[in-house]
Amino acid sequence: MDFFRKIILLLTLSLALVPPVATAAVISLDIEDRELGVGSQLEVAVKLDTEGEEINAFEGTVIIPSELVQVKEIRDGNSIVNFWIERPRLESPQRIVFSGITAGGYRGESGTIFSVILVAEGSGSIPVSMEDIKLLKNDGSGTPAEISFSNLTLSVPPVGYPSREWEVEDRDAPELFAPEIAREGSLFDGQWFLVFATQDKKSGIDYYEVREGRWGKSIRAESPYVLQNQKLDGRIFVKAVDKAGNERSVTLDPPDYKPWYQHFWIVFILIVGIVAISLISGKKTWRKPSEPH
Amino acid sequence: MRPSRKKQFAVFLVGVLGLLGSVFLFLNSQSVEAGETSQVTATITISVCGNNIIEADEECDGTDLGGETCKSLGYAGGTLSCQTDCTFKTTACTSGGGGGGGGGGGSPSPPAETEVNFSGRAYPLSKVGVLKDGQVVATSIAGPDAKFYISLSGLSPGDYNFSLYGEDSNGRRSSLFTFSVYITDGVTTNISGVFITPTIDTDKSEVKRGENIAILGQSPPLSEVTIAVNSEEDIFVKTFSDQSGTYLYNLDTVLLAMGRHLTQSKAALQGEISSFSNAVTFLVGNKTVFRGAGTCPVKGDLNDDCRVNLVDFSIAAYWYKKPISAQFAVKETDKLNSDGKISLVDFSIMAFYWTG
Repeated sequence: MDFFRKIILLLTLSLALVPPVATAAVISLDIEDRELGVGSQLEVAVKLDTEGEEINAFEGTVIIPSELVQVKEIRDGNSIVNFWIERPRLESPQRIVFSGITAGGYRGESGTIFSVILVAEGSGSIPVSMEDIKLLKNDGSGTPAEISFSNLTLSVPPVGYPSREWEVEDRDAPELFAPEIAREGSLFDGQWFLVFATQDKKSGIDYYEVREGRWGKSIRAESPYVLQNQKLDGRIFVKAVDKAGNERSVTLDPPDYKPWYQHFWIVFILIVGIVAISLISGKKTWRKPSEPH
Repeated sequence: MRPSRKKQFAVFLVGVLGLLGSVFLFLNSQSVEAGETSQVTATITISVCGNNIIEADEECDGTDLGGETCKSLGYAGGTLSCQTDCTFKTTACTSGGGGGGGGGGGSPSPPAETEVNFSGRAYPLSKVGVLKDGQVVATSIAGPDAKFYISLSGLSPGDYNFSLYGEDSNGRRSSLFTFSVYITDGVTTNISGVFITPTIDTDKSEVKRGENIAILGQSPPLSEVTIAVNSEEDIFVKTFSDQSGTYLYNLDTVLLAMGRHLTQSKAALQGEISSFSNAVTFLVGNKTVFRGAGTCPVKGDLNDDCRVNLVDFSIAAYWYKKPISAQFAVKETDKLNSDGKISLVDFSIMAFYWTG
């Protein structure tokens, strides 16, 4: 009996002295609806569990075999990523690349980086995998975090299930945002440029439009946008449009912008005009009663 | 024109000019401004007003009255209900006097707005800012007791990354207090217990070994401040902040080895404790160099405006995966990781030093 007690004590001590396994951030491919069939639509989400670590930079590639599935849409609304260096996009029919940062870092168990809507075009086993994944710690040095992968294999039977539409009902405009004007010697030959970014929590941002001046032409633009009016004396309008067509417009007054009533010459002409009209109409009014001779 | 007519016309003209002048002055008086634009482990409390569950400081929540009735609150009778701000509505309670009249038809409560409220401690009369997904969306001033309250409304439901910071009386900023939270449509989310980390600085960037170095900053008033200095063996010292929240500790550097050191601080008050502040570096050597006045971020500020934000991000993003110019290489060496290219590591550094 003493022998067994010693063995148990030794085992307990051994277990207690084993160094704890370093936790690694888990990046996984998550699917909600596993009932698939040829023609089915499915949403695959790239999820992150930081395992208590604070992560502030994300980069990688998702590989999807193009012969069996087709990428219908990539969604980055409601992402934990605040600013995209490269918005998730199809680099080739099989590869979706992405990179971005979260200011101040993200710590959580189920953060969505982005998701992909796929349409199954053939039956069989479809491996969806990730490569070149980098997650960096929020430590001021960009130290790589330990990463654990979790890939996904989809089994698509030849018999199709009723297709589920992964449409998002979105009636909300993109989030309010504040564009900024800046200049930096090494960029665009030192010209003034405009930066802007916002998020749409449901369908995601589709595009931006910039209009310089009240009567200027709206053009689709990306940040950073080199301003055509380098004098910075005209009002700037920036519009964010989400994938459901909802719009958020913001206005920016550059440092040298003055509304019309602050331009001396406009006000002067206006006053002269009004005074002239007053004089003419006043004279007519006061001359009307004819003086008796 | 008769003289009286001329007089009337002159008065009319003066009136017109006066009116124009007034309109001009009024329009020009309207200032047109462009939109202004750590790791922490401290415990915060998140409560959702509108989910029918009483949490944190809520008196009630929807149908959950916590077992309270009009009688338990000291009224004679009536019907107790809950308001949209999660406080009791006692207007339908009756007092103990004579018989009450018949109750009128109750009007339906207005639909609750989606909003989020932040409260906690910073420094006395300090500026406190909120970043929503990396962009400054609100600022406020803490009270003399360092407590602050900031409310945001008009949010869409979804996952948000909020960061809070404090800025002390000398313009030093705390590290970001960052957390993620899901905002539900039509409810009020209360985030309380936010304890902003103290600010920290040293009076010297280099100190001759054996001389004192002052470690100073701001925290809530009369709080206990723990200062950590890394050395061969980490040194921990304690001091207290004064009524204005200012703390100062003169550290004898004879305790430290020659070389570069880091110092951080954290504050404790009434059972609450902050996380450690951002780190400040100093050198123990053979001479003393006083630190110049300046509160700019150490890294990440590419356009030298003492902020790290979307502008700096955009500048770096322009050079991402491209050969950088000689002019930008100087910036990259000074403000990023000095490897001669822009990669994810540079963006990570920027995200750490982010100010919004």
